[in-house]
Amino acid sequence: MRRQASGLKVNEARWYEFLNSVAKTPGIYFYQDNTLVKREEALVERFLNKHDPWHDPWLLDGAVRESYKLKTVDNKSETLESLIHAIQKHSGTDQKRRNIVTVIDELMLNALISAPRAAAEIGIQPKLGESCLLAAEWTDEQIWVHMQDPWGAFLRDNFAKSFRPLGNHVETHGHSGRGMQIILESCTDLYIGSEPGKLTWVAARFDLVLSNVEHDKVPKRLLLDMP
Amino acid sequence: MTKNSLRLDHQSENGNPVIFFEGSIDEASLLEFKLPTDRPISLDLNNLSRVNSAGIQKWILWTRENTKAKVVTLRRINPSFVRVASITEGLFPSNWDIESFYVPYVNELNSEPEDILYVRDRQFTARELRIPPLVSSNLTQHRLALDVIPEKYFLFLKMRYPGIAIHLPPNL
Repeated sequence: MRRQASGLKVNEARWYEFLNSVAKTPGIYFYQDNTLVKREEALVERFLNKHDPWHDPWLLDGAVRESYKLKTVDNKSETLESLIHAIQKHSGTDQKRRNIVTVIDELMLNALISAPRAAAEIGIQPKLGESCLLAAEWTDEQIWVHMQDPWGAFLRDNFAKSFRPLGNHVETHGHSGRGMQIILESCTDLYIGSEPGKLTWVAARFDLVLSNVEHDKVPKRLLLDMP
Repeated sequence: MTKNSLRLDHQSENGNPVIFFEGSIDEASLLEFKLPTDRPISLDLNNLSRVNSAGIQKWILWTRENTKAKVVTLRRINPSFVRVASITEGLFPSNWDIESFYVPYVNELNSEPEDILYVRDRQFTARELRIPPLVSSNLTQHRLALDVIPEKYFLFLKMRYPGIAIHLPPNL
């Protein structure tokens, strides 16, 4: 099942700034059915249940799944270690572990630090008691990492910032610009969805069986769900 | 209170200080010590397991607070650090030098990963990097294949040594 991305409920100027930035970013493609498509025509796939995108299996039967609650930065390291331990225990992913850990770490940073900060800046106050959910599914061939941002700010503000021209981004972007660059450097596909006012999710896919050289030739996909 | 994710072990070699980094450079790291201004110092990054983007920011701010450090030599730079150093400008001030760094390889026989140390004046200088055409495992003597994309992985050398020539072996 696929749904057409349609309508815009976020700040349009900011949204188009984001899209234009993405379109100019080398290595980012809107990729559908083995064909490059116009960004306005990109369809969303796999997200059968957008309120709980990892509820339905993304991988074939036999995949291992783990979910973790992220509450604050203080429990980030502990959660990260638990997830990595689980992945290592169940599969032979050690060879690509460094890249995967880096990306999960960056997603966590965005969910726990950047997104709440961006939410506060644009007037969406984080609600007390809400936490982020990190989920992962993996086999020996690939791994999916999912992140939920309950403030819905990841895409609306923080992620758009990440794609401003890099230049001397060190001083102008906090950690977010480099964080997104790290994510894009390492994962095969990156999916981002936003449902303003409710939640934002991000999902990253890694192919574990490809060599680094082959991995680099796989186009990254950025499929956007904007109901 | 968040636990410090970075451990720093201060030692001395031939009268000069060496600091061994262990753990992660991230949002929970304390990176505040002052580098000496009267003598050289080496930073050993071999046991640095992880560097995230929040850690990069801390590193850069820390280097800017130590612009008067005499000579800083980075050695045994872990691939975790190399990867972020190759996508971030400004990690190495001009008076900081690179003595050695690790490069990920993979054993062609059993697909086991193995990091190979590139040492200054052997594989590289400030003017050129020569990626060896053939590397053998230190553990099994089997042949190893380069497991990085050279154009991306070695970018940090270009950032520190602008104009450095990178020579790929003929089989890449």
